Amino acid sequence: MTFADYAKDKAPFHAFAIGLTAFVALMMAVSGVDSGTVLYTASTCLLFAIGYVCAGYAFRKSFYRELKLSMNAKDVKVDHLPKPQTKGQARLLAFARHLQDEHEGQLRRLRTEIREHQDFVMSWIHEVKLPIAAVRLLLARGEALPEELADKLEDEISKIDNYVEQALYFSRIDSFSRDYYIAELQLQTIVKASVRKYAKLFINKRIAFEIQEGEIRAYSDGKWLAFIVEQIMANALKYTPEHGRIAAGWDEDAAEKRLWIEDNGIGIPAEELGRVFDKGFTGTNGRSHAKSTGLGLYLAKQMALKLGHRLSVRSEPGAGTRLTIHFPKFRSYMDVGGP
Amino acid sequence: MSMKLMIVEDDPTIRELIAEALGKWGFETWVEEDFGQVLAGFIREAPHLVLMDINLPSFDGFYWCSRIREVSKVPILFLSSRDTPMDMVMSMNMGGDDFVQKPFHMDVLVAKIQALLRRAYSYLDLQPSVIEHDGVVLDLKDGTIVRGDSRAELTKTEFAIMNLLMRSKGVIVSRTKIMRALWEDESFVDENTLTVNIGRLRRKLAELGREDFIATRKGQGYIVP
Repeated sequence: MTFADYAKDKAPFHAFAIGLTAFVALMMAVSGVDSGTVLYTASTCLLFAIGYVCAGYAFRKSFYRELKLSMNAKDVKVDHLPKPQTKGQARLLAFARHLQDEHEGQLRRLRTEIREHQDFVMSWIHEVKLPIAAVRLLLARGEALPEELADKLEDEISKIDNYVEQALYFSRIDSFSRDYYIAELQLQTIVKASVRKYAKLFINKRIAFEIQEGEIRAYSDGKWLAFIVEQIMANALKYTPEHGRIAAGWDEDAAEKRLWIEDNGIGIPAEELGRVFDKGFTGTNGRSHAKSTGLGLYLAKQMALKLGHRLSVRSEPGAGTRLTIHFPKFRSYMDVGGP
Repeated sequence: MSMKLMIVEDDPTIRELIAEALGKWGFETWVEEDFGQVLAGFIREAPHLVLMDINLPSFDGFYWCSRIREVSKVPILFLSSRDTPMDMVMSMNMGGDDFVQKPFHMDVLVAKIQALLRRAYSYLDLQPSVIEHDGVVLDLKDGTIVRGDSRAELTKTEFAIMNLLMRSKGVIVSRTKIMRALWEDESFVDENTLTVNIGRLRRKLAELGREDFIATRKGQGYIVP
């Protein structure tokens, strides 16, 4: 609060002081007091009034300065505010405290609700995995059902399994900080595992898979990275026509390691490229080719960010799409300032 | 000697399916149904390995694992839909030997069971290391086929195909099924490569004088009759 603001707030007092001085001066003049004395008294009165305002500002200044400081600070509570100097300020602070209490109560209730909801989703997911496991075992027995039917059932149960998996990871994103373990991983193993998982789809659609020879290691969390790779793989499979080809490979430079998965499928139009990682974005491909929830790549991107990786996409409509996971190399202390 | 496995799993469908599938692999199984008396059942049945679910009525799998550990060192394999690092750490801390997450592939489960048994009882020494059919012997250890005095070496892919066909002798195996078995084994072959491999396998069998060993059933697949 500047002095000008304070003086403006005190406008009624200024008017009152001026009015009073004018009245006193007028009365003195009417009673025949000589003009020198009248002038002296009036100016002294005004001086007193100005002095009063200045002193008041000096007194209040500290309160407003602290108020301003706490407003810029993060996570401020009413208890951190300066002591009230007047009853009026005290009332306002009490009101603010009341608002804060109510707000905190609501937040607490909301948090409990969210946690309960999350716990329910988690336990539900673990429950629903049992019947999925049972169905898979039943299908593996494979004598009661005609092969064609068993084949279709397996497809459907795989879809359910994948959606459940997405739900599981979606509800886990928030508790990520408690649920990861970074280790040096063999990336080609993770890619191969995801291909094994989708082997049936590959074979049924007669899509060939190629992977670069050799091995590459990077630091990440096995479970979460596997999920990211699976989402990318599922996406590639969805948009690659029969007899297509999906390939995986890697390279690295001074700044990062890169793991890429590419297909020779229908590709993504340039104007949609920027939005493929958006939540719920299905694009023209998603609408015309396959049912898509638009959740897979969104989840993959969110998780990649949490792990400190980055996802990028390159595509040419009609020629194919390449998704790349970037693993930045951390600059070690020795390198700082080096060549 | 057949190995006895104890199954502690409260979902009836799953435990029966597991028992049935393991039975086919030549294991004897005992399914515990009284979840308050798992330890007593364990002592009575004296299994060679325990498959343990985590979520059980009354006490959980961790509890029973640690109780069994008080009296025995048999391998314990956890089987659960829980998959957080905490669950895995807990299961190992309680004395578990391995962890399989549901839903699982029966082949994976069997492989893990075999690995644990092998370590605990030198079990594989008891397993046959050759398959024989109609005069042709497939050596599982060095991946060769032998007939009489002649022998031929197989590549990894050829060996996997031969293994699958000989194990399912008398049954038609579709090309898709062969491909899935190969992909499961991380040989990501396509249709043409499969045809080429079958051709090479037949030539090698022909060298041993058995070009008719693998028959083609048009539109259905292959069969070792």
